[in-house]
Amino acid sequence: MKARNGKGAAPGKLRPVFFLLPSLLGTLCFYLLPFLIILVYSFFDDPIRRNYTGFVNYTALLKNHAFSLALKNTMLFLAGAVGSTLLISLLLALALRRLLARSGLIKAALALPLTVPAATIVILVTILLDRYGALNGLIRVIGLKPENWLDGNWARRSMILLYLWKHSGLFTLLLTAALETIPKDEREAALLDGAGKARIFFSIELHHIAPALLFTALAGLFFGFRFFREIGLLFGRYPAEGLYLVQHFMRNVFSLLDYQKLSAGAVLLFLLAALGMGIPALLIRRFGGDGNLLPQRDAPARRKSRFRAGDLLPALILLICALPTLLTLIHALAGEGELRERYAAIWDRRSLDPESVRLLLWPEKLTLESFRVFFSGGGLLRAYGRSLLYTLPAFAVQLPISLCAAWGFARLKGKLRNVLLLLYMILLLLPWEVTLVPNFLIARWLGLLETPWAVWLPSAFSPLPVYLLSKYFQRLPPELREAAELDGAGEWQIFTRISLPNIRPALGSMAFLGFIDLWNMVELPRTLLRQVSLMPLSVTLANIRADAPLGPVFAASLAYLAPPLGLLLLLRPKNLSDQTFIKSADDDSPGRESQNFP
Amino acid sequence: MKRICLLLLVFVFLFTAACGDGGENSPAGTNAPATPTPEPASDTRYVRWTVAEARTYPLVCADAEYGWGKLCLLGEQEGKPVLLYGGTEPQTIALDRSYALVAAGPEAVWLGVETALVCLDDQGNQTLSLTLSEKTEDMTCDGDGNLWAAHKSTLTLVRIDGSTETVSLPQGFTAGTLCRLGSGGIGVFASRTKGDVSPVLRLTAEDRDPRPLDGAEAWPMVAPGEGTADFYYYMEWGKDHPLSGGKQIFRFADGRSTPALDLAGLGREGLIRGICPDGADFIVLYTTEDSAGFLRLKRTEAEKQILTMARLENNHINSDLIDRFNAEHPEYYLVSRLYGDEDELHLDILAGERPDLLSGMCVSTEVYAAKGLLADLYPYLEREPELLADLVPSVLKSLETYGGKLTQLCPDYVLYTCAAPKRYVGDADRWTLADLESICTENPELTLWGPERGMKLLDVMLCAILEHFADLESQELHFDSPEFIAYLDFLLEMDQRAQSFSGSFDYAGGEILFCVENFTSVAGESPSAAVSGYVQALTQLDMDALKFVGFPAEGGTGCRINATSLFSVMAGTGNEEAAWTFLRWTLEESVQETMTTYIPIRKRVLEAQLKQAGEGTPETTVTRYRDPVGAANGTNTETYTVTVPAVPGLSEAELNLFRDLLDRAEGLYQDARTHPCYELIYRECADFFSGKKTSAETAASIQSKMAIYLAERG
Repeated sequence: MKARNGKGAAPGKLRPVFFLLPSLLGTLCFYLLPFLIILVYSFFDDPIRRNYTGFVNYTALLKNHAFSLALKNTMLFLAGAVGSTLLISLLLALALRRLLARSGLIKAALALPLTVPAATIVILVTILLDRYGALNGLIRVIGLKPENWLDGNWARRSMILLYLWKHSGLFTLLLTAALETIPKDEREAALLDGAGKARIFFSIELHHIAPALLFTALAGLFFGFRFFREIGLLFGRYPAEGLYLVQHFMRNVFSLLDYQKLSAGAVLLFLLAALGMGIPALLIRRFGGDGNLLPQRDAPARRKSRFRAGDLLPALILLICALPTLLTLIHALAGEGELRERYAAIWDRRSLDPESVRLLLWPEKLTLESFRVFFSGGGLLRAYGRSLLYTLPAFAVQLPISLCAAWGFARLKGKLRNVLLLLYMILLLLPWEVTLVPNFLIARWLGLLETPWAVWLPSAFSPLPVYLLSKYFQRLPPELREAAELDGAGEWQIFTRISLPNIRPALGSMAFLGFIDLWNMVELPRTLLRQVSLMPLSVTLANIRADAPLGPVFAASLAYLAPPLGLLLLLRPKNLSDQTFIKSADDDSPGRESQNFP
Repeated sequence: MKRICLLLLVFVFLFTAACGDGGENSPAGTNAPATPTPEPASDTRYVRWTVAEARTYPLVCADAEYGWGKLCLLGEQEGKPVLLYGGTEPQTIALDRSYALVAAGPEAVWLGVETALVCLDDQGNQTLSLTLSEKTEDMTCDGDGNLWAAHKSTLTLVRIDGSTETVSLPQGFTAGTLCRLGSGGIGVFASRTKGDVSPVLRLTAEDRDPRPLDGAEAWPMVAPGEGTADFYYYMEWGKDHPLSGGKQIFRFADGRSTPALDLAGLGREGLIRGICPDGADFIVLYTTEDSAGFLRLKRTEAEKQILTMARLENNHINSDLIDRFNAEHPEYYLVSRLYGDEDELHLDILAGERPDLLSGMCVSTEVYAAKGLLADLYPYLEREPELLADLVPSVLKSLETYGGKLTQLCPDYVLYTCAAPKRYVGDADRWTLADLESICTENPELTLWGPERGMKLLDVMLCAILEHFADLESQELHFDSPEFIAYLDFLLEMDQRAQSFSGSFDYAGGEILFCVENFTSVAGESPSAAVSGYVQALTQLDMDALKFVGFPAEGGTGCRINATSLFSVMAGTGNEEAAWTFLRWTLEESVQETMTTYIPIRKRVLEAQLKQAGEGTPETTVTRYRDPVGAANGTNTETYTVTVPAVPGLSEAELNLFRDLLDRAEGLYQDARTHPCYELIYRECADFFSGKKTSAETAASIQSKMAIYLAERG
């Protein structure tokens, strides 16, 4: 390896650090420091009295029934949600890969559920799954017994299904991208040898996509923790017992000013995450796995892009993915009176003997009144403007910082890189509730409270894109850099001229995920901006009361979809590189990968 | 690259479109996003204000404005209509007729009445006369000298050259008062015929499409702002806004809770008619019954001691109390710090920004008391044994929290109890859930509270339910017991009986088991129809047939105190003594005597009120403004007279009954906002009563969630 690193290896040791520095400083300030503060808090009786108590908080916490229940439920939920989504996504990827290979638009549609705001999901889920919701209406018509889908034993299952709906499209794309990289000759050789589809899958394909599966599982865990937004909005502080998660525990003990419990819980969660993440991370490093969300290129057209009978499944899946968006559109086109009347049984608690509601599939009278209200300059439109105000600058700064940091990580060698990357990954997974107080303290100390900087700065240094991009940079064959170095290219030139052009597909993926993460921010502005008049649309929608007019909310939700949707459509294959970048586990041959580069 | 550029263009377009009206803090014509306005160089807060110049004119004021360094006072002098107009020495201009409205422009002054408008130049010469098609309700000039006149649902823009233009408001809005905006154009305080928030709409002569200003609500008393601050508003509670009340004036652009300046301690009487910044000074226009004038306020060097009160409510009684305290204590400045939720307050506390006082309404005081964040008030009270002895003991006892500490204090309160027919409860003065259930089982036609249904019934029972089915200290819960399930079924049955109730509210002889009585006061005027004073209650209830038994309770009396204002002193702030000054002030007899809306905590004051109740009051007539806000603005001074009927005096036995009820009071009335357990049970039962859950499901759910709730505290 040393020989391959060749010229300039010794002075080059410091170069990655320069690339990493901005991100490291930001992560230190806005992610690591808050965690260190809670680490300190966890050894004191509380942050107000500040008496050192050693491990008392930890022992008390481990004996706390609520915490153990929350931890157990969180693990069960994550295992169920991520596991099932992974499995379904893999099956979908296998079933749809040919179709997906030739249609970027369908790929974009699969990512659609990610763009729907949490508040809109909550309204639609309530309409569908409430005791008097549309699903039970359907069940009654069939003659079956209605269920309480949002309570008791069904609550967790419903949320797992909701998670599945929201993320399976993304996972399918990630896994399809991985499947696309499997060399065709291996499969063809296996076919010639008489291997069946199952044999080919288990012997060849699964082996190839194992790293992507692990990577997707990690992303799944990240989204799993983020999914608390929907659960919190739907169920409040005390959900059904099976859905009482670590975030509920943390929020509730924060309400009791028991910050020491929260701190100790956060540290335990960190250790669990380190343990849980460490193993997959080691496996990923072993396999060198990766994934790419967005379509890289259109496969050669083998046939005309039109549906056949066999395409019914993808059509159905697309319908499921696009259903909330379609419903949002339909509801936005309905009159407020019609919406209220139709869904009275759900929100109007005075209803005496309500029957199940019927889902609005088409309004009695089409009206643009909701859009008129939204665009007439009310609070929702201004919140929309603030969403753009917070997201765009943060996104614009996040991108170069993350790229530099990811390149720095890729160039950094040794255990330090692994430790730092693992740290990034774990910090990424820590729920926002964990670092709520330290983040507030830091923002206050820096004078950022109630200013857009409070949102911009932590967002600009988010570990998510750094972690994702670093995986892509690590895939770059070292020969490329070595060749460039031999030609006298400096580090910056290699980074900008050689490496960046070669990860453009990944850049698209990262851009989309990074944008979505920023666009859907709720906790950060809620804690650090505080004033209602400063909240972005994601928070404003989440704060909408049940008795507020529904039509403008749907119109706002539809407008809310526009930027991520636009980004998704613009990042379709044609503007991305034709290069596919997922290195297979046993694909260590530099010759093969170097074919990918100009 | 092209796509990326296109993407950026789309974003820029969306951003521009979305922020088009959001630039309310930016100069007119720009579309900059809404960002907080920076603090002006001169921070007018937290300082004492003194009157640098005061002018009073023998003038019955119709309308007044101050702008561009000129005072405009419109009214009558010796029965003749006049206009006072000018700088420090305003000239008196005799008018040919009475006008109701005045608007100051940069180089002219506009007068208006009904549909007529006239424009006078600097010398008072009429330069223009117009007749509009509708009556003018209010008018103001924008920074360019254009006049805006508000009618019922439209506006008229009168340009300098006299040309007019009608501007319509969006459907569903009616125009209210107008105000010149500091950043250009005018603000229309439009009231919305439907919906809860009435926005301030912004208009300019160039852009006549009304758009709401961000976060602005319809504050009726406003003044133009300076610089980028759009306007000032001042809090108006009750019928008027006297200077002596120490009203706080807020800069709209600052947000919600920090006043730009307060008029506390000015020691002037009169009603505020307008306020306007004039350089570093403020001009306050005021009127008395037969005079009008202005005050020029200058800040003094001596700063006040700042006290902060954390509030999760915006109760006007508390606000008035704070205003009065500020007015009477110029050395202090008690500032309300309003919080959206408890999490915000917790963050401030954890960050070391502990408020000096805590308003206990909508707050789980026990959480703070348990953490030792609230000072015990007994040591303060024990310094004055006479005062301590003069406070109603049962109220003090009810307010105690952990370990017998008095961590909260209320200057006044409401007494909650229940009355039930003697034919059901006999001579008992208390009852339990089981008593109530057995009475209803024996009398199948009986309703609990007439037509009052599920959740309201639960409200009455909640305290007893919690006592009966949970022991929070030993963490024992019995919500999954058959007894609780049966009790839920019983409540559901009573809900159904209430649904079919068609009888009258004859508490003594009808099919109603109990009525809830909220004695807001002894004899005072009820603030709303839903509650009544003790005297009114006794005149309405047949006490020969009824008995006060309290709420159903397991072992207690069931009489409760509902604190309308509840204050705590935060410990460890270093300002405890100053904070206590506020609480001590609320206990002053002079302050307590003014508390006629609710029951005072001082025994002497209460006894005086009881004595008055014993004497009764003769029939009186009261004159009131039909439109208090319009009266304050001078736009509508129409009055009406009401006759308050005579109230017969109470007998000594009736007065003793009240004293007895007060003695029996124990514990604070809690609701879902202040007690998490209540919130939890309430939420679950809401689903039960709306039919979304069965009693068994509800019971299991409450048991499981309450167990988690208790475990969290373990």
